Amino acid sequence: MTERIKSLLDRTFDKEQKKFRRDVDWKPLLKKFVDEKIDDETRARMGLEAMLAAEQPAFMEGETIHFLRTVKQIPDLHTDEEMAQRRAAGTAFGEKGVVFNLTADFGPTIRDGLDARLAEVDARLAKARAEGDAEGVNFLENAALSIKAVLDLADRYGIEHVPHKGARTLHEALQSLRILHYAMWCEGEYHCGLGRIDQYLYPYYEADIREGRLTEETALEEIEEFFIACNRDSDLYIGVQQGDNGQSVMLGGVTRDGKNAFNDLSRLCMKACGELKLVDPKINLRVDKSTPLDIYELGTELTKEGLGFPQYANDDVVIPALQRWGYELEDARDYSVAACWEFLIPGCGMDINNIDAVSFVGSLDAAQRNLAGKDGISFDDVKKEFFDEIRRRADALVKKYAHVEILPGPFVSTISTGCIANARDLCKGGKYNNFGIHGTGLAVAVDSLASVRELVFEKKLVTLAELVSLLDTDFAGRPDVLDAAKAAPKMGNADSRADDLAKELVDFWGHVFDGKKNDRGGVFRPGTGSAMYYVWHAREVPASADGRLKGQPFSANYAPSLDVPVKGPVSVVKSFTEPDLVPVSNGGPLTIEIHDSAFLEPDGVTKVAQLVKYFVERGGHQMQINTINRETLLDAQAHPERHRHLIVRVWGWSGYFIELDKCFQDQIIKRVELKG
Amino acid sequence: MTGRVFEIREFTLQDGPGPRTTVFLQGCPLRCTWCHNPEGQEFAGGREMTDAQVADEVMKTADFLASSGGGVTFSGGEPLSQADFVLAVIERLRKAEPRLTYAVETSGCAPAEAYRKVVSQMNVVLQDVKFPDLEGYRRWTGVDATSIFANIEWLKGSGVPFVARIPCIPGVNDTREAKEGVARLLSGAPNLLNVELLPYNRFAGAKYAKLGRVYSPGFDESRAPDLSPLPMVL
Repeated sequence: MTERIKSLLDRTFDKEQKKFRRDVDWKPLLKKFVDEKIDDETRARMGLEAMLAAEQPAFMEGETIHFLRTVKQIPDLHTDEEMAQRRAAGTAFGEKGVVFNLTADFGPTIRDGLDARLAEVDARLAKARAEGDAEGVNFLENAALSIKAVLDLADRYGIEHVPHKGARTLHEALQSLRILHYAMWCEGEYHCGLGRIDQYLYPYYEADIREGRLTEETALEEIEEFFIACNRDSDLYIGVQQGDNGQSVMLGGVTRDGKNAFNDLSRLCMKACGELKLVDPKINLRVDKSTPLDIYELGTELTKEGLGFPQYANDDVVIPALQRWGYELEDARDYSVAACWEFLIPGCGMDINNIDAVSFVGSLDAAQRNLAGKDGISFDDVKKEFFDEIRRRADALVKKYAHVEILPGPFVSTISTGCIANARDLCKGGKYNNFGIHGTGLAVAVDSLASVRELVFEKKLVTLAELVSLLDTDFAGRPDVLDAAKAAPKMGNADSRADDLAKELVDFWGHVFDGKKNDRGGVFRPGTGSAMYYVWHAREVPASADGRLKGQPFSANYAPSLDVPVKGPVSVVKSFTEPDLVPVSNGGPLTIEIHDSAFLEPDGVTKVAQLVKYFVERGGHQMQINTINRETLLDAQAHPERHRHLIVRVWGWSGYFIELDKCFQDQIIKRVELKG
Repeated sequence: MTGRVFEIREFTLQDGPGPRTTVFLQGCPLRCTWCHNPEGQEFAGGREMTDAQVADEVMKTADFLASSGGGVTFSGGEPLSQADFVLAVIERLRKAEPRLTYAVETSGCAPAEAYRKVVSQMNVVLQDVKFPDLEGYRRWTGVDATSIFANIEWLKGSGVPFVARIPCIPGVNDTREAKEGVARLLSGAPNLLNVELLPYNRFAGAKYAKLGRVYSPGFDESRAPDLSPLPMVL
């Protein structure tokens, strides 16, 4: 790392950029929106204009890639009352309602420049006017003004050539990307991904190297400066927790025509992350069964640093999964992640990949209660009622999201495929408009089911009714039942008595939405992710039959239950790749923890890389690995000031441990407790 | 047949080539005062398992071990105290998954016949060398090491690749004289792959209280061992 980069890194970490920040009261603007009954599209444009007009060029010493947020607050475009009225009138929204969890199509605009986009908008506007297409006119007028607002700020920064014109060098491409990405946040979008940077930036890198403008070292410096920039404003981009900001990149994989896409730039991006050791951007790496071990080793070098990434995605599973949901093969090959791990096609997806979740543990609890009073119940009856309950909950979600609206984003629409040509905002629909549904507590539900089979139907230790009442009292008075519950088969130990039930559940879940459509023509994509629901859903249920007591959280995503003493990571990988994961590939990684001592040996990296390769070869869909040491985490809770740089993987993103709420910290500590 | 096992641990990274599963066999003739696996010392402890049970357990993840160039390591306790059981497990595993490699981690304290028949089945031997002389073994491990030295001599000429592992115990065997002695002992072995100096495990005492025993290793635990490499001996 050069001295300049080191200095930028240190000052960014010390939050020097905060000295430029100021508060702006946007209430008068919101009042104007309401008083004048301004339409959504116009509000979005006016909000962006006001935000960018309030922004003041700010420069950190030594930087060459510019744009820094100086205004802390992004304007609200609607009052809570307005949103409540719309919900009451039958409209559903995904989270805050705006475009989110999305990656724009940065490549073409970096290549062409915003002047070219503006010309396209103007030409299409003339046509819309001639056709008397009022909605199209409104969108395009606002789109044109949004582009102008972005260009105006770029002019005030004094940046030459880009983003007006197409980038000629890697440096210009990164500068252009920086402003396009930053403008999305300023428009109110959030969880804005960066997509396949090693693909759309590669032509600039390759030309710079070929023509001698850059060497590998100077190219690395460019990338490092851009990556540092991704960490300057990220504290303003808060998700559920600090660090949950969706600034993900996807490296490797295949090109749209199916050729190997891992290139020198992919390698440099990984090297940059390894040197910087920052939480952003979060690296995802696409692999398949033909990926050589040395690429896994490059990834594992980052794992060894404790960054919690790369997160691996398996093309052999994800591409067929996307095709199954109706994505064209070329698009499917171009997949990235939305923010955490939900797969999407940058630029042409208006998928809402995390619209809601079904609680498997809640479903099983309800099923047990439905049957508790009945005579002559068999284990198959319990399983059937459990699956029926999942279906009822899935159907309810289909109904709940029958009519979803998304609030407009005129600027992001101009950098997304097809919106200008269609004269419609991205919010009206992209090429793909599917909804993703998480399934939470999968391992807890499987373990509980295995326990019900053993305790109620095989050992006949309790009746189903007795078990249900014991769950309400945390097994009070029956420590023998609790012990038996804990000793019952568990998912993650390569034990077919649990893994076979997991196969059945995953298979059922993977097909429960088959044939269902939303009113945008999209399908429902089930997944194995949990997002933050692993904490929320766990609060809604009493103890479970696996021996989990009330109040104890579920495992995040696709992972063994927290209190299960698993034999080790190989058995975990084996168990969790038993089910066919294609139908449940909305996203949701197997999450495993490796003790940091694994890397003490010189070939530790190779051995961990082999474990990831094994996961991929067995048909795993997605995987993330935490390298941690329990003592370090406990010390960080006690002495946060000593662990400012400690990074952990939370549910689909890496964050600084000391910035997490305690319940999330505790869950991570629990995850590593049983693993040495 | 049956044997006694105190743990089967997967994804062990320090017990031979590639990722491995290590089978820890119960019972050891030595009583090293610094032993960090005291639960493995008594021959009566552990869990009785058949050779088929051990092989089945290993086989659950053997595809990974085989495709990664790894395999199975027998450790302990002293695995050679259950030599026939080890061989029975290996025989089953060879039939089920021919690509596995085998390693044994041993003190060398075993009858020559047991030592030779197990070692000759191994891809690599992790041979403990604690002292260069009988007196060191007698004082700190409580055994007559005649068989150990004879077995090591045989190993040097066996053609089976081996790694010498030297636990460095502060003030006990980390002296220059002791290391010179070990170096002389190991000299002239074309099949010696590497010499590993293992620092004394400061957490060794933690398990003793749980077993109702007192940990009194008889040396100054607080001092870091001298980990300087073995001198060259011609």
